[in-house]
Amino acid sequence: MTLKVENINKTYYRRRRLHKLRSGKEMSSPIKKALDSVSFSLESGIYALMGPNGAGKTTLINIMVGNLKPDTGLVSYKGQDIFKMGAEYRKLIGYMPQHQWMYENMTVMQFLYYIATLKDIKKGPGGKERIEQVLDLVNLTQETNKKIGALSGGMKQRLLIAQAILNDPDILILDEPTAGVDPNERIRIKNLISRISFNKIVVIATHVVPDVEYISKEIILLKEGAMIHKDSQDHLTKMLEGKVFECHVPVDKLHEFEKSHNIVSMVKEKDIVKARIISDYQELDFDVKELVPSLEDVYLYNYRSSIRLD
Amino acid sequence: MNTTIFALFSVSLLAPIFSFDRQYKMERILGATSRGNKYLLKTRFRILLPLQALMYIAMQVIWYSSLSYRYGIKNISGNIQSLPIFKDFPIVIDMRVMLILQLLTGILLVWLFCTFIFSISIKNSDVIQSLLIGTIACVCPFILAFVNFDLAKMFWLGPFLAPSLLFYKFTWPVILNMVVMTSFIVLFAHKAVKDYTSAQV
Amino acid sequence: MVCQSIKLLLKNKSFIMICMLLIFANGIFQYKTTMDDVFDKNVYKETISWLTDEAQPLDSLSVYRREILEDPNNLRFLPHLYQEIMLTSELSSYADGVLNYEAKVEQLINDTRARAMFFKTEEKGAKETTSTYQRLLSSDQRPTLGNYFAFGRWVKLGFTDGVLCILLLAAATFLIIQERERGMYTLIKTMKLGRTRYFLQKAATLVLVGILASIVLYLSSLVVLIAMLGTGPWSVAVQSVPGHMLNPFPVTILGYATMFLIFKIASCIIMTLFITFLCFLPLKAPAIYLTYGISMGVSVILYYKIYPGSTYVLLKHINLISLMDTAEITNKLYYVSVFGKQYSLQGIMLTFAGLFFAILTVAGMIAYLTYKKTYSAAMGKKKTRLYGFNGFTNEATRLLLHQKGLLIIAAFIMIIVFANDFTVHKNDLDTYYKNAVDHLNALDIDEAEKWIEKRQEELERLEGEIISLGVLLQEGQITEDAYQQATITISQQLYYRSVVTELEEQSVHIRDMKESKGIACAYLYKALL
Repeated sequence: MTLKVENINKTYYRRRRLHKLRSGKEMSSPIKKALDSVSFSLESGIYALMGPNGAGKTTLINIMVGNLKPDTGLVSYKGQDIFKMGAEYRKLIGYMPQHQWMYENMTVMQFLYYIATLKDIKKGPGGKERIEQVLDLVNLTQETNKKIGALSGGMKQRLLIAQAILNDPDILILDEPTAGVDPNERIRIKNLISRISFNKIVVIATHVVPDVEYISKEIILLKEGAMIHKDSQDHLTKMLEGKVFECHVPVDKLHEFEKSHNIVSMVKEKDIVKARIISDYQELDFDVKELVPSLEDVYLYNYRSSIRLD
Repeated sequence: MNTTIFALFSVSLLAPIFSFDRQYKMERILGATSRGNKYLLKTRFRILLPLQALMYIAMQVIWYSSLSYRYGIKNISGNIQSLPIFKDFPIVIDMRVMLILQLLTGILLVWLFCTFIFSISIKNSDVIQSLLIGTIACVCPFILAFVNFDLAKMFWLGPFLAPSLLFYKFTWPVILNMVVMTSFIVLFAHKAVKDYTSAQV
Repeated sequence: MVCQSIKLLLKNKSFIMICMLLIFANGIFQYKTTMDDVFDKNVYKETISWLTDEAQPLDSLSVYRREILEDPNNLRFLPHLYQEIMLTSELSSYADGVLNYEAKVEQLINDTRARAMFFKTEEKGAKETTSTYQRLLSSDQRPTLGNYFAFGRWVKLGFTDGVLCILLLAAATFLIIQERERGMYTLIKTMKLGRTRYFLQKAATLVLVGILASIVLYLSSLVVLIAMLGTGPWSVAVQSVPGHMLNPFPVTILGYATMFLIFKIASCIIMTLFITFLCFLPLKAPAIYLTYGISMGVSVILYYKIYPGSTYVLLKHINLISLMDTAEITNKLYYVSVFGKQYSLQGIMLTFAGLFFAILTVAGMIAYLTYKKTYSAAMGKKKTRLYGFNGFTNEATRLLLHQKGLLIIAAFIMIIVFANDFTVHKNDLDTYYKNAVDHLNALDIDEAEKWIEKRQEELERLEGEIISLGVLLQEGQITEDAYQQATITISQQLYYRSVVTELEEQSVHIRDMKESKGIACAYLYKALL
């Protein structure tokens, strides 16, 4: 199974200018170019879609899910255009949106039944069993009769995951699955994703690095609508070898140091500040120790604008 | 007055249906399911149209009951030409048949009106805006009648809210109005449904 | 911060649309009701212009009335004799009040004193009334004849009050309720300094919006009315306005208008505080709207259904509607008996308004400061059965239960039932029409036509009676009062002319149908249309 995204472009315009675009005329000043010639291919496994706010992750996800049409480009699954496949494609996907908006007046069970019907899960013992199985998987069996409005944030996230996996989809797309949840919940969700991802294409859009560290097959980095990298974690961290250092900076020189360096983290010890930095060039003015780069370093390296160049 | 009340209740029932999903972003989850587009649309239509027909019939029954209390409706088997307003009606039918015809026409027109409100709901992502636009659509004929704005009355939703107008004012402006408004509603609904199902909403 | 809130509100498209719709509806309503009442929008301009040119307006009116009775084709202002007679009666009564003002007031003083001598409980009211009007008489304030019918209508705008209440609710929805539903308060309550200030800011914003809305609505209504009916100068005494002859205030029309607006704004402020208080109660939005609707409904019932002589008359005057009815408390002196003692209505209203204002401010603050998230939890009890694997039933359940469809349908049925009149006879015309039709349907066409002819002859005879009475008045054989009484009684019978005319048209139609189409016909009620 292959999900291909080929040369996707998407720009947001003001409403009145949208009519001009349909007639083929170029726009002089669109509001925002959300995606710029994004192309990649996904096989089974977990993929992390990373980028800061406004990078285009949600737009890309909405296109992959079929909720939004790109201006140009193609999204295909097993060689077929997903927009032409229509309902057939949507039978194979599970989507978890970014925000926790659901029908607050419904109970957990009612909501899952409602979504199950829309996912064409048939009436019969199989259907009911599947719902119970999914509730057990996300550990919401005790809350089946509770109204969604009364659930905590973590429970709502789990419910969103539950509705996404209800139809045992081939393609699972999760938009910020751990947003607003506590560390325990985050680990639980991360482990759940690993468990259910066997033989599926799982795309996790996030800007929280620990969520996808170690579990993702490949990381896709988006920046201002363009894809800057798509590679495994090992390769991405290898790219940063020789660029991550620990500097011992005297406290009185810290202010100047901060202005000219990409600091990942700092720890103060008496009169010295141990700063973890990312730099293309080795800093010679202070005590320096080269470190093994992590995924967080990769993220910061790609999304921080100021890097000192000698 | 009854038809205006009916129209306002139709708006309050129908306008939030899709706007609510859009306002609370549920359409993202629904749109990602296999039956969240066309099937959902068809199902909602299939529920609401008979419901609207039932409500319309209930309204007519209550109205006729009140008339029979106040005046006593008599001689319903008399020919429709007995009423001065229908003296030039081309077909000789009795009042019962006319009442049934009016009821059936009323139901069809109510369905068209509901389609219009439905389309407004699909196009709007705010429940209050949908309710407002629907209310304005209901209130417009009322206001136009007051101000005697003849040109605007050529194209208004009046007949959809008072179908009996079609029977005793069967003149070319009324026919033209019906044709224009029906075409407008059909085109508007078609556009709204197309946008909804083709992920451009 | 208040300006910021107002700016946000004005940027809200939905709110702007609501405001425009309401202001437009208000204008249309004023226009339509005025047209229904006065028949011709220039009538007051023309009649007053004519009267003010006459040396003896009352005499001119009498002469004119006799002339039109003798020759009904010579009408100057309106198309029908009956309407012209009603108009001249109205103008007569108005002119009499203005031109014989001193005599009327002295009569009022004497009557009040006489009543007080008989009913000891009315002594206090009598004393105050007497002194107020004596002060008025001793001043230079005297009414003058003028076209103030627009102003007279303006101060009785119940519909505009209703529109204002809806507009205030809309503003409260966008300013407070929506923010509340989105969980904003949970954030605000974490800031100790922010709480009180936030409440006062919201209340102040809503009050400001209410004041602006009042000014816009009332001024736009006034503009519509003046554009239709015209107006005279406003520098004359307020007692020149029809219906305000007994106004106890020694002010000009402009002064009264200012006072009226100030009172309206004050009552609007109290309404606003009431709505603010409701918004901060731990209720969901639909419950707030329902509570508001019920409060207004109960107030309407108390105000319109309790009669002045009732034991519960105090309840009539201490509710939300009575607060809004400024004209009632400012255009005459009125005393209410409470537990055997008399109190001036103005005093009661001011006390009530003050107390209400204080209570609402405090209650609103308390409600706000002790605000808790609305109770939305609830374990569902076996609700699972409502949903299954059938899309149709799921959607139906969602629509009817979770989107309150059943409630809307029930409300619709109730409103339709109450909007339709199930009483056997609605009014005198309906009664007459129904009886006539029942009678005519039992006759054949020739007998029916004879019956109608007979009715028409009777009506013409009655019109002749009016002319004869006019002649008798001219000859001095009857007094003006007797003439007025008789004319009114006969005019009431002439009221049924429209029914007889309609039945006559129907007979012509039935005869045509019988002759041309040979079909069985009967008289039928217009209601079937």
